[in-house]
Amino acid sequence: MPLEEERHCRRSCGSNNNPYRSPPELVDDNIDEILVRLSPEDPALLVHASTVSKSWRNTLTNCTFASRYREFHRTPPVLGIFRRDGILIPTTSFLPPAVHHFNCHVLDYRHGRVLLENLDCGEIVPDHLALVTNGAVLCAMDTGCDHLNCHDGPFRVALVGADPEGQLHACVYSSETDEWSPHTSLDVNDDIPPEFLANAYLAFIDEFYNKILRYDPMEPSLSVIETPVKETCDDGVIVMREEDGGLGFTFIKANSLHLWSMRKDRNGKPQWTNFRAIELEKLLPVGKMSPQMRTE
Amino acid sequence: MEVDKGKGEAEETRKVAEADRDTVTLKSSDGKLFEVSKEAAARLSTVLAGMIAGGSIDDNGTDLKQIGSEALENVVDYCNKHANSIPSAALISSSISFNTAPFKEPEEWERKFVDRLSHDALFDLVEAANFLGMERLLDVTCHKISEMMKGKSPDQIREVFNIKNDYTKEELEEIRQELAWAFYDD
Repeated sequence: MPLEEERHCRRSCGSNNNPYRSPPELVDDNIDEILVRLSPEDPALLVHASTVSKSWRNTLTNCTFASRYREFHRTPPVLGIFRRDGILIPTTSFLPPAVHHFNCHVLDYRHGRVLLENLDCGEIVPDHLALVTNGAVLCAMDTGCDHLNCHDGPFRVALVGADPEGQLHACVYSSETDEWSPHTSLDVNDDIPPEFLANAYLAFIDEFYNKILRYDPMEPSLSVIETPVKETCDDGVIVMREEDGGLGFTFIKANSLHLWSMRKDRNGKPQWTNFRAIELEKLLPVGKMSPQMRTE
Repeated sequence: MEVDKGKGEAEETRKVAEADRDTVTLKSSDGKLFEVSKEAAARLSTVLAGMIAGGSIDDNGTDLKQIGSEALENVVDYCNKHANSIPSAALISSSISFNTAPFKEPEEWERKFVDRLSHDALFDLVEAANFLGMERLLDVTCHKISEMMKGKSPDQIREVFNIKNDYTKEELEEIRQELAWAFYDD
């Protein structure tokens, strides 16, 4: 019988005929299939499941299961939001102890890591960065990583900073070599035409000059891009790389989220376009928001 | 030689006749026979597809000794319903590349199909789906069971799955302390 060779049935078939049997015991393969479908929106349920039996806990804590779980659910759920002051506002039941980082400033979070600036000590900051204005943390894999399970792997930290003479500096740390790169500098008063952002780059908003800094640690190069609006916009400013590789820029003004994209015009010159404003009051139930969210 | 040749021809004729049929007959562990659309069986079950392609389908009922009649009836019912419904692109892609494609929510009729099943029938259907390599049916049934666990305590989950608690009180307490955030609502 070919079927018997292809699949090994570990349960007694005779039990099917007994109407009074207790609920069937599922074979391990199928427990795996069920547990992998537990919703990531409810992390406490995964913990509850791990206390059902030791074999379930073994399944759930197995690294093969963890990678399959990530693969299965693809887009990881938002477990919480870090406020700039290092307080995590949970959006699910997940709130492990010591998750809040008091007296810290959140510079960036991405690829399963958070970059915090410790306001009590600046020892990790390389000497030539007199004043850190922004930073980014990212997976060290340039390509070929889906960033679903790389948070334990090698990473890089890029920092940009300014000195009192108006010079901007940037450098990158590699966890693999445990060293900071030589710094790349730029005079912010130099008239540099905006470059179209592509491939490997990091973009920051510089808090002092209200300009976007483009830092490519690979070249390395540092350059300046003007923001789409001249006025100071320091509330909720996010500079991001869009899915198509272009540059996105958002900020909040008068309870509206303003979104800009940089696109090439007919002559191939990059231009800020696609302006869109989203009225947040209409979108978010402000009255129902967590008090923690409203305090900032 | 002639006898063998004759036997070979008969075998060939039987196979041709079978290849022409639109359905295949499956036999449960307790000897009941079920007809199922050949197209749907081949599309939904990798094991049945292999048997159909390899010519190992028995015209008098292919023995599925590991599957009881109730579970097999549900398998067949699912295949036939699937054959009658308009399969969406999402469903097809999900059943072909199950391990890489993201999970697609069950369609309305699939939801209704598993909702009417008792726990036992549902669990038996998971086993049957796994045995027959029916990835989409496994997807839908396992999704239903994982939904059943929502809001249940570990004790209630053990009851549903008929699982013996093999933890000591101390071991459980240790986990509860280590992962206290998960037990705030208790």
